[in-house]
Amino acid sequence: MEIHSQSIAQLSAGLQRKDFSSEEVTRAFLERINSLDHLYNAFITVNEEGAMSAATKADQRIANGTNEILTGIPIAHKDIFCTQGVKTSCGSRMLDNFIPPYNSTVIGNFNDSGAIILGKTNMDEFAMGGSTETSYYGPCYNPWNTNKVPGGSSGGSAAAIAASLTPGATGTDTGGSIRQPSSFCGITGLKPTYGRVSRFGMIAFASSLDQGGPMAKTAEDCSILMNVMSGNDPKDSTSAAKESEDFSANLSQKIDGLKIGISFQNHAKNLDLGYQNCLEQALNQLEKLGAKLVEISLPRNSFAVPTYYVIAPAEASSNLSRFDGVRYGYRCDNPENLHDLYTRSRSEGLGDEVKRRILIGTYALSAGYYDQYYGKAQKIRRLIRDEYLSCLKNVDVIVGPTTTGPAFDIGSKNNDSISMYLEDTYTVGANLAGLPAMSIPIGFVNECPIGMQLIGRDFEESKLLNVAHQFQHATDWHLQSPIKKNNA
Amino acid sequence: MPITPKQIIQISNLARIKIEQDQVHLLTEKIGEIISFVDKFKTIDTNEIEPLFNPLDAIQKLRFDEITEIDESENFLGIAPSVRKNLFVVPKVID
Repeated sequence: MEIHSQSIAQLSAGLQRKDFSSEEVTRAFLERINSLDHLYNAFITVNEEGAMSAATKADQRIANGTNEILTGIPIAHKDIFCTQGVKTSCGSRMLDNFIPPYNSTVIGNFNDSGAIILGKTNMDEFAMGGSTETSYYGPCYNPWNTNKVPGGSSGGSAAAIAASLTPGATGTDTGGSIRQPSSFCGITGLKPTYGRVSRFGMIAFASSLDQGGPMAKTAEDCSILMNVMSGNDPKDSTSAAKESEDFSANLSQKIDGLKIGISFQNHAKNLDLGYQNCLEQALNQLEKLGAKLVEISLPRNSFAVPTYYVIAPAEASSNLSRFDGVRYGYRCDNPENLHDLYTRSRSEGLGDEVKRRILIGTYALSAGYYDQYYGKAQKIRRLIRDEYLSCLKNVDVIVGPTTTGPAFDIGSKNNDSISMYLEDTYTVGANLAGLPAMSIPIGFVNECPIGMQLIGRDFEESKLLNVAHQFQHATDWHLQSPIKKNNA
Repeated sequence: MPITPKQIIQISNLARIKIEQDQVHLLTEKIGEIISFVDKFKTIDTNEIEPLFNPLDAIQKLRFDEITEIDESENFLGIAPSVRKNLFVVPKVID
């Protein structure tokens, strides 16, 4: 099998067996990026020199036996994770000149494991969007059909994996930004429990919702990435007081007797027939593996999107106030006074969607409106979480669609914010509730991949990965590739 | 209308975001649509419900007041747009 077609687990085994070196693996992916990424625009920065130098060091570690499972494996990172010495733009003109003087904890963890930083992937500006069209560096294109969006905001990571430009990547998920692009690009992505992965050095959008997580072709690979990414971090005061665990340990466990909650009522009205059929087949498959389906009801979830679109912009308006043209990032030319410096630096450095959300957030937090909007939204958030927790007392996981349909056309939702926001219908609930959730491929609608979402109890990522792995053991949707289709 | 052009100008000033005069009406309409959309949650009764600011109801951890960081001021000043004598340079604040 060619190097670029292999999973992280396969590449790791090959490196261990000395079938190939990390230099060969890294070069193979860099060559693919150089020859193919003009089609997808999945990368903002390719770390060619740094990657090759890290690969040489990784080969030395492998030779002297101090290697770990990810040593020598190239990984792409969403351009939201600070990488010391490598530009970290967050998809924004504001940070086009930002070269961080430090590493985020996630990047530090990957470096310690000997993984290679292949490059930084394209994303919606400051992670605000569901299509990777709001990037300052231009839209990213879906490898299955380049007229379609890859989803967002971690669209560059998802597209790069689907096109086999990288075997795995990091993403972040504030309202669905790992799961929705995973669904649109036919890959596997996991949003861990809030607090499981450190947010230190991960540029903040909405701090009570943001969570970094792994994206790869398989659940097994996601488990390997999780083993490195997660763990308590004293540098992040919201980091959960839980040590990392071996997320690969339970993958092979049978799911006989597993109780799966599904809310048919919730899904039937929004999903097209093709998606419903794929979902039914996937549920049948889970039943064949021994799972039991249980009807559940999540009526409060219909308020999740409005709730999210108050909390997220409110927190964003506060977080993005740091971009003022003084300490780092974009500064306007010839400011007349301090107010002009702040206002023009922000107005010229930030894109339209980001500015819109800052304004909504400022409104929701302003005197006279705080209780009506931000306060109210946080109360509804508790009702939504309580409803999920109540369902999860009776079932092990909740299963449903990841998105309302397959990837949409580029440009088709640019002038309709509400329609774009409703793309998050099935994903935002897990963010508001802080629960772990993942998306796995389950078929195709109009020749574009679609995903199934699994939501679990707090800190039960291992259970989700186990169910996903068992499903992938019995199906081959995750093995489908646009490369085979397009012969790229 | 849930939000007025006057309010849009007011919040854009608070957020230090400049809006061109010819954009005020369009932006009022767009943000108004979004606010009308979120307003549907006002139908839920939330009396007696405590807000959930952290999804796991976790309490912010405190650490001992000890110096753990090394002095990296040079690195951080190195990425600033304008610096003089170890200070960030901004336009004159007082004439």
